Amino acid sequence: MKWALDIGIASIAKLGEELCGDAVEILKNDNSTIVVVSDGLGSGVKANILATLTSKIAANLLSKGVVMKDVVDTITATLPICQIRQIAYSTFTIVQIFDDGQAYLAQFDNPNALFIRNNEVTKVLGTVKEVSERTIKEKSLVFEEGDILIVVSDGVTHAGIGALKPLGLGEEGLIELIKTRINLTGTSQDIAEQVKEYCEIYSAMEPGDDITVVVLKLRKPVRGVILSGPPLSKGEDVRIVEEFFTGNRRRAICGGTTANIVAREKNLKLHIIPDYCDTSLPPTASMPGIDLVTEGILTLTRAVELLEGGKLQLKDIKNKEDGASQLLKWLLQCDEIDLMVGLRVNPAHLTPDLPFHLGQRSSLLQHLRELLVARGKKVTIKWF
Amino acid sequence: MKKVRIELCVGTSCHMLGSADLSLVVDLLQQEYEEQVEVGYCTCLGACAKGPNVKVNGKVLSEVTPEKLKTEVVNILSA
Repeated sequence: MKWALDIGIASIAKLGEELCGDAVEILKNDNSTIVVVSDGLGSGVKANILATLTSKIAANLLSKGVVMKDVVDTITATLPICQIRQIAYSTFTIVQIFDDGQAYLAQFDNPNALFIRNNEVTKVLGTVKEVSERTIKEKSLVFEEGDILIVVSDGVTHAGIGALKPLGLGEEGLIELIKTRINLTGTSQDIAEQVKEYCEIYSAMEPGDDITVVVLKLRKPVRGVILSGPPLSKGEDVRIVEEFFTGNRRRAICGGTTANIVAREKNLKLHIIPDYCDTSLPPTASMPGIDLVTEGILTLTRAVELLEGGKLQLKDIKNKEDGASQLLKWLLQCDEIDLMVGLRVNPAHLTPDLPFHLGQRSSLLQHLRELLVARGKKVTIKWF
Repeated sequence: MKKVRIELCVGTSCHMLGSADLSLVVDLLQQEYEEQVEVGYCTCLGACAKGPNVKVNGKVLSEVTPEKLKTEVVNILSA
């Protein structure tokens, strides 16, 4: 992978609605990433269904190489028809970015995407094209390192109507906001959350529409490796530790026994940091040359629980120092993650005397992998 | 001056069985006896099913409760 795409998503539902009527779908294939942002008609459950169907259909069909016309036809033919308005409708913005920086953008009725290079913000207008009686704007772009693309739902450009921005923020207002108020040097997630928060403020904290901000930033890929669990065969310890230290990657260890094996084989000092930021999780530790050392099963279980549902935001864990939050921050900073998973089970964890049940490392890490892939990370898993 | 070296296991099983409570006792003992009590942490003492485990002056104690740990340390220091 030449470049990595740092993806940030922030969204909030209209006031009084449990579900957001906007949907974001990320799909990675061998050489590209497809991101679809869709806004369903209305709000709540109905809008959510329309948006989810649209984004899923578009992402899956495009990744299989289906042409735009057929994608639009399929979406139109599949969406359920609104009983009140007698139409099936949802907007979408599709971005496909290839690993070499080439990108294709298609927009239908969403606010124009914004392209940022060297702090210069421009609207991506594109060529107008009629596809199945719908007006679609298409554009090809070439991304360079540091370039940012911001895709929003109309909840953003309409933010503030009836509140602090009587006519709504508008596209020009959004550009002005990004130029003057948003720190573009942060991660994509930071940028997305900043824009979303301004929209909430403009709406006097009572958003009148679903708000979704998606930020895509091209950067050099950050690689990371996690070692969790001792190998089935004790004779493998040396080889596994050596493999863990190969390559130019960031390193983390999840598991006390695993950390001890690494400390022993590499003659490193394992120092446990006895700060119980969260008493429900064991403390973390430090080791020279390793970014993070945490306990295994409990910390991984918590990390998986926090990632589930896809609603986790960076600010929720930004100031937390417990093992699971630190692990998540570490994971979210990586683009490519190698999971090295040892399958040896601590026999003591299986004794029926224990008053609790511990999850299985293998299934936990498998699940973690799925959740990270859904967040646009490239994850490999290796069992030993 | 008598000294006590406490090593508290904070591994998965011991944590689930209450080692976080023991760390509070350890902090209090350290405040009270200052340099007489030396504290370390480890990730396994090899008796996971009988946690929480604590090593006090080289001896592994299992199924330790906060009271038990305090009594043990105080006994050694006042013996």
